[in-house]
Amino acid sequence: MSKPKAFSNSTMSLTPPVFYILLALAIKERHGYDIMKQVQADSNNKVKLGPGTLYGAIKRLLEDKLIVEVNSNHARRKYYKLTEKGRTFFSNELKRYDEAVELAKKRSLFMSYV
Amino acid sequence: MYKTEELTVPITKESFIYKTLLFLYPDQYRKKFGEQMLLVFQDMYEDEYKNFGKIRSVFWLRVSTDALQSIITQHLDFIKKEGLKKYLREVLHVNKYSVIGAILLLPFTTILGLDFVARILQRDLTHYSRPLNNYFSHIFLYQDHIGKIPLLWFVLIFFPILSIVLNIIPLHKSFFKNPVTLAILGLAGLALLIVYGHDFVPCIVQGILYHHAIINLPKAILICRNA
Repeated sequence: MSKPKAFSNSTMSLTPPVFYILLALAIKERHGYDIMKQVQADSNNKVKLGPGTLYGAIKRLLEDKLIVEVNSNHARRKYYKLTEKGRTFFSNELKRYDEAVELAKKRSLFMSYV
Repeated sequence: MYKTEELTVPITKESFIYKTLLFLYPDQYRKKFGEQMLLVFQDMYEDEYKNFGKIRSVFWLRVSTDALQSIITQHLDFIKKEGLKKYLREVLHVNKYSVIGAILLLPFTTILGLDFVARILQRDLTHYSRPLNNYFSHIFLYQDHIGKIPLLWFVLIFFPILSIVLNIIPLHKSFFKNPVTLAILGLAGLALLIVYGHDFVPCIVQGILYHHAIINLPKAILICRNA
């Protein structure tokens, strides 16, 4: 039985945790706790990952070859980075969001905050 | 005291608790990510202590809900990818020995479960069960109160769930690799409980001892026969 590909369809929306993990890794390679802190900072504390959800997402990203483990000098911590496939996929997702935002602006769908 | 080169706050007990929680994940997942998850937990713990001067209950709420959600997700993920048969064999460790042991264990886990529920209903968890001494009286007592069908349902449902939960926690892998040793330990514990009764050890520990004695007993007998 073939394994389902979670992110092979480029039109599939990413969950917020996965989006922010990819965003964190787009800048530089990181270990788990570093990813967690960066996700929290980038999302303005809206997305808070625990070890379980973090590594559940990392596991899926590894299976889909969007990220890869990096050999590091640190004895115990494992570092991760985006693969070329991951970078391309994430870039396509950002373009999709950009197009959606442009469309929403044209239709004046953004509410103004008082 | 446990300390890495990066931690400044010693967190022995809490790391042990989280490490034990990690045993509820499927083996493959735990072997691959367990150590990293523990490191992240330790970093979170240290940050919480540094920022707030203590560990708030919201920290443990966050850790436990995260763990519960991801444990269920990983088990379901395993079943989805590998199938139920492989899941029963590799994750729940269901094999012919555990099935034989489970059947032999049925009377003890039944009464333990009934006693535990009764204690909760009576709000009296300080008195522990004496399964061997009260087995028959408990059976007749509960049958009178709740009827035969609910009792039968309870026996059939509770026991498999308890056995599954106890099987997931691989005590024998942590402490002993030899089934003969573990079977002897379990039977020794059982003998001690028969002689001294329930006050010596809490009922949940009784259940764990019985369980690991009984599931290893058939394997132990086979090993001794082939030796």
